[in-house]
Parts: sequence; structure tokens; C-alpha cells
Amino acid sequence: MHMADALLAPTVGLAFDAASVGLVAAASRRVVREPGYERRAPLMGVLGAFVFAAQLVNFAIPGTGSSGHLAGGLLLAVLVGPSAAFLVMVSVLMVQALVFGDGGLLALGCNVFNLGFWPSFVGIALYRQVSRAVPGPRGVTLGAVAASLVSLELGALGVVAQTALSGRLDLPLRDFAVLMVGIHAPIAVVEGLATAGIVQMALRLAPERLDAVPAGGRQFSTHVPLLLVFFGAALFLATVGLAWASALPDGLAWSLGTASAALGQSRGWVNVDAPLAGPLGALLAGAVVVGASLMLSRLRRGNSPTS
Amino acid sequence: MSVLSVEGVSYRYPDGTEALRGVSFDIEDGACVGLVGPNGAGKTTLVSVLAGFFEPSAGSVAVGGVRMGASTLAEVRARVGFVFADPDDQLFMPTVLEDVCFGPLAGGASPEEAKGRALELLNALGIGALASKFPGHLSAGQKRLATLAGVLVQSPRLLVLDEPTAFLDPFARRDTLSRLKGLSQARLLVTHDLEAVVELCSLVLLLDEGRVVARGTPASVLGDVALMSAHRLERPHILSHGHPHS
Amino acid sequence: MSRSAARELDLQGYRDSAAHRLDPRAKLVATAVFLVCVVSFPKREVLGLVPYLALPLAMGALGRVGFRPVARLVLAASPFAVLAAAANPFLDRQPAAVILGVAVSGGVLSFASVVLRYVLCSSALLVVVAVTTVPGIVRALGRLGLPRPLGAQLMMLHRYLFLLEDEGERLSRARALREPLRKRATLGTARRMLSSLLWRSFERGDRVYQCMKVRGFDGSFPALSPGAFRTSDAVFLVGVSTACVALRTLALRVAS
Repeated sequence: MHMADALLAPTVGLAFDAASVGLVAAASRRVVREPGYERRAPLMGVLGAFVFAAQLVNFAIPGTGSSGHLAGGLLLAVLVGPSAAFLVMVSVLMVQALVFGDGGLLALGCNVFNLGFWPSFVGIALYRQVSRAVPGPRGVTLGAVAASLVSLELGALGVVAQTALSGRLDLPLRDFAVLMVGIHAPIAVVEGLATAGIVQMALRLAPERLDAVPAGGRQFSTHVPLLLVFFGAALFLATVGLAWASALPDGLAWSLGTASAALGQSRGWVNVDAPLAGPLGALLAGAVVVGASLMLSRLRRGNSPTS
Repeated sequence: MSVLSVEGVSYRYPDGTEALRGVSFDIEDGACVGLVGPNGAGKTTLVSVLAGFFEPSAGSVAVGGVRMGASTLAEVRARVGFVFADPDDQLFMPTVLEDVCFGPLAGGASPEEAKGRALELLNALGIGALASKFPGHLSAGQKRLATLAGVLVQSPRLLVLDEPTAFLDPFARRDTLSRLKGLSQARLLVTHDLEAVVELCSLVLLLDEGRVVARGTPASVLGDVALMSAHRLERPHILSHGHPHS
Repeated sequence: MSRSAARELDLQGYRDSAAHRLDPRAKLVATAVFLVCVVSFPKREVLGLVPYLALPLAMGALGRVGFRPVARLVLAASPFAVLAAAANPFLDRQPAAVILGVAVSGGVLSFASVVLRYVLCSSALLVVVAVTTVPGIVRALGRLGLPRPLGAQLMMLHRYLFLLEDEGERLSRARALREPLRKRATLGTARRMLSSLLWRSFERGDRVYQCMKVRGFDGSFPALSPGAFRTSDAVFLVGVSTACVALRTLALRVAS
């Protein structure tokens, strides 16, 4: 789900480019100050190449019939830490745009945000919290799945917000959002499971390879630049809010109206359905997407005479 | 005077494996010494000790009279050129010229000086036309020459060559060997290519289970059929047929 | 496949031509101006975008860039943008223009516009990379202020990109040969394959580090003195930028 130049308005693209420039500068300053950067520098380069190589390993996504591959952001963050992982992801996205035509130059900022920022700074923080709270392999799996769900879905919503703000598409914002969230849910779960598997194997074989996770005591805030997270989250919320407001000129009034109506008549279930419509719709659409892809895969399997 | 002097070097891996047990040898200025041995003999460990990646648990290494230690590591490394088996590991810069310039620039040379020395050397090796090429696009033989240039540009007194003929076709191997033969620096040739040792080296060390089990001229060590098979090696044919080009 | 097309384009950057000899900074900035101009057209613009095809075509011809690899990459990377825009004709059915006597809906126009924008933006970037090389672009970015750690990261990534891709490819083939009845790896197999790939990448990273270290690496990547920005570069940059902006303002005039 690379954002493309063609779907962007210049202001939106340039705004995200500018934000990314700031993030890249901050991460670069941080990464050279981290102990062991000298040793990590060549490894980071090779790991960037690893992400491309890993994308050649296609695997079946259980229950959908489609195939997936590793996006890699979260795995990188677990392996080399947030700032280094972010820089590796930025380099991966740049090479994808320059060499493979995935994404684009103007859209780079959007893609850095959607695919690099969330797993490197937010996903990893969640992963660390969960894997610390739940000990053992279960914690790793749980943490990786939760982190990849959150970061991939936030990235998907980022795509929705950026396209909505750019106004090149006629897709209704809400349908598009629901569709994107639905499509990315199974992908995110599989990404999480694959990441967890690789991390567990690395933990068994060479725990010293993984970015040192403080064994308690130290809070994640010392490791993940909290300011960056706040900055990114604020920018994201502002974008989503702006997109919502611009797509539904009376969106705010509408939600305020339904909310007050619901409060005023909160007697029976019937009247409360308006605020619930969003999440319910999202679930339904997710189910429809999964169902449709299941049916599609059945059809394909039926048609193609592969042994 | 000896360029490299290795005295009683032992190395034990963190897991307890004893990879080197009291290895001693000297290399004279301008000499070419072959280091042979079966897989797992300790050859790679020895190269890692010489490069300063591993600190010997006993014994010492001195290059040009300077004993290797934490404080002298940079000085010692500047005197030794390492050519590793996989040229893709060694050619990490985006163009051949930049790769050859890496060492001099890291050593404090000015960009103009580094570029001048690099181009001179590339031309001398006959690969001046490859200066602006991406290392990944070179042939195996060209890569080998480029790695050699990247090392020679730092004017080392000793070259440590780890499997320099690996991955090469016969023609490129011949070319590489003749260039190695023409060098004036002392050379330590670590290889399974025993015929190359016969051609290039005046002294052979046979390493097995972390010990130097035999040393002498190539004919006396590599020509000893019983000794060779006792250490999972083979007497090179070149010893029975003579030099292929003579 | 698109991967072989990418390699072909990557290789073309190391050739020599008038386009290759231009300063990478000039090419990069000109491309940025081009992109912003293309993207800034109103949603339903189609005709005004057509003249912009001249830049990638001219650049490609000047640098003798193969048409096929560019076309293959543009096609291969298209699904998201084109699919997302494909809904436009169904959602916006209001007639917006009459072309050759046929009323065309706004949705069809905006869809055509997105497709055209897509072709323009991705082909322009790919052609510029094919006459510059990735390291060339990275060097240019470095001189335009790209932080050094990211520059070094990009160089290393590009250096080992195809090498590691080959390893991934070999791994995938080995799996396919050993379980010929299964089209795709199961998640469990993929995890093991990826772990092994990761392990090899770590070892590669270690070896590269050692190679750097013995040659005096201290954490900074040295750079050679870059080439000078010549008059021809300035002429190219100013010419292309002016043309792009002029075409954009001209199209505005015609529209109004």
C-alpha cells in the first residue's frame, strides 16, 4: 500500500515530506550517538537489503488464500532499535521508489510516515510493553501481533487521510477507511506472527544480536524518543481530523448531533445505534473483505489446474 | 628481518573450543608463506587474530616489530593488507574508485591524493577502465583485482590473502596468481589451492587442530603423501608433473 | 519480471551519455519541479498533462534508456493507485466535458487524469535514476543536505540489494524444489526461511564490518571531492523547470 505521487495534492505531499525530513534528521542525530553505531552501520545496510530479499519469500496467509510477505518495519525495530530501524525503513522506501517505481519522490514523506514511522516508533514501544508484561514466547507473539496490527492499521488510515486530503479520488472517506482497515487486518496478523517467529528463533540462537531490551527498570521512553511519538501522533491526528472535516463538511456537526441525540434518548438500544454504526460497519466490511477473498481464492483454485 | 612474527599464539572461543594452540612462525620481508590445512584446522581463526578481531588467549603477534595490542591496533592494521575470500564483502563502496580510496581517506589522505594513488594503482593492475563501475557488476576476476587494489593502495608491508583464488575461473586464477607472484611485499597465503602454494610460496605451514604440524618447502611438506592424507589433504599434481607453464 | 527490469535500469545508470553526464543535483531538482507541476493540476485535468510526457521521453532518448524496463516497472507498481482511482467513474457520473461529441463524466476524466499522472511521475523518476545511478542520486541528496548516516545507509543498501535478493531467490527455489506440490510456503516454513536469510544477512554484515575495520573504518564514510556544477547543468535545470512551470500556467490560462 505504497502511496503514489498520482494520488497526492502537492501541499499534502510536501507537508509530509517536510515532516519526514524532520524525523530523519532527528533519527540520524540519534543513531550516530547510540553506542555501537560503528558496528551497526554496515549491518543496517545489509538489513535494508534483507528486507528486499525477505519480500521474495512469499507465504500463504492462512484462511484467505492470498499470499503475503514481510513488510519488515517491526522486525527491524526489534533487531536494531527504533531510530536505526526508522532510517533503514526510510532507505528501503527510497530504494523502492527509485529502483522499483513503488511509491514516488513526492509521496516519499507519506510512505515514510505510513510504513516507517509507526512500526519503528509506536509499534516497537507497544511490542516492548506487551512482551515484558507477558513473559516467554507468548509475550513475543502477542506483542508482535499487537504492534503490527496497530502500526499497519495506522499506516492504512494514513493512506486514507492523505488521499482524502488530496481529493484526487471520489471514494467516500468512510468506505475507503473501512475497506483499508479490513484489508490490512489479516495482513497485519500474519506480519506479526512471522515477525514473532523470526524474533523467537533469533532469541534462541543469538540473543546478543537483538537490540538490547532493558531487563526491566528502564522505561521505554528512554529508548523510544517520546517527543517523536507525540509529534508524529499529533500530526497524524491532525491529518485524519482534517481529512474527515474536509470530506464531510458537516462531519463535526453530524457527530455532535448524533452524540447529543444518543445522550438525550439513551433509553433503548435502538436509539444508540448511530454512534455504533461506525465500528459495526468496519467489522462488517472486514468480514465482507475476508469472505470475498476466501471466495475469490476458491474460485481461483477451482479454475487453475495447478497440481 | 621478519615482517610478521607470531609467537605461541593460542585462541579459545567463548564456547571453550580451542582453535589455536601455541602457533609460532615468522615471515621474512618479501617472502611468500603458504598456510594450509583441512577445514576446521584454525586457518580462519588465525586470520582473525592477525586482523585483531580476536585477542589471543596466549602468545603475541608483532608486525614490523610492533607488538599488536589495543593501543597499537590501528598502527598494525595500517601495515597489513587483508584480502578476504568473498570480494563482495570487501568491495562495499558504490564504485571501484571510491572503494580503493576508502582506506587512504580513512587514514587521513586528502581526496585528491587518495584519488591519484587509487587511479595509478588501478591502471597498474590494468583495471583503470573499471574505476567508475559498480562492484556488483564486475566479473569475479575483476573483483579480485579490485580488492587487491584497495589493499595495495595503503602500501602494506604484509599481505594476508584468504583464499584469493576462490570463485575464479582458470584464466582469472592464473592472472591473479601471476600478479601475486610479482608483488614485492611479504605474503601469507591462506588457501586450499595447494597448487597455488607450490607456485608462489617458499615456505609452507601445515596447520591442523590448531597446531602447526609441519613446516618446510612446498615440495617437502605438500609432497609427503602420508602427511597429506593424514591431515585430510592431497598431494598436488603439480609436484609430479612440474610447473604447468615451464 | 519487474525485478529483472529493475536490474536492467540499475545497470543502465553506469553507461555514458549526455544525460548521464548532467549533474545529479540538476536532474534531481528538475524532477522535483516536474513532479510538483504534474501533481498540482486540478483533479479532472487530462489534456494539460499530456505535454509533460515529453520530459521522460526526451530524457530517455537522450540517455538511451530502454523503453521496456521502464514500462514493465511502471505497470508492475501500478495496482494501488490505478485500482483506487478506478472507482471514480462509478462514483462521479456527472457529465463534465464533451469530447468528440461524446459526453464524458467527471469520474472518467479524473480516472484518466490519475492514470496519466501515475505514468508521468513514475516514468520520470525511473528514467532519471536510469541515467544517474542510485549512488549518484544519493550523492546529490547528500550535497542537498541529506544526513550522512542515511546517505551511508542508502549506499550500503544499494550495494547489497541484488546480492541479498539473489540469496532470497535461491532460498525460494530450494523450497519449491523440495516441496513441489505446495505453491507457496506455509507460514511456519517461511519463518524458518526468513530466519536463515536473516542469519546470513547478519553474517554478511559482520564480514563487511571486518573488511571496513581492517581498512581503517572509524564510523564515518569518507567521500571523494564531487564533480562541479557546470553551465550545462544550470541550463538544463533552468530550462526544464521553466518549461514545466510554463506548461502549468499556460494550462491554467486555457482553462479560465
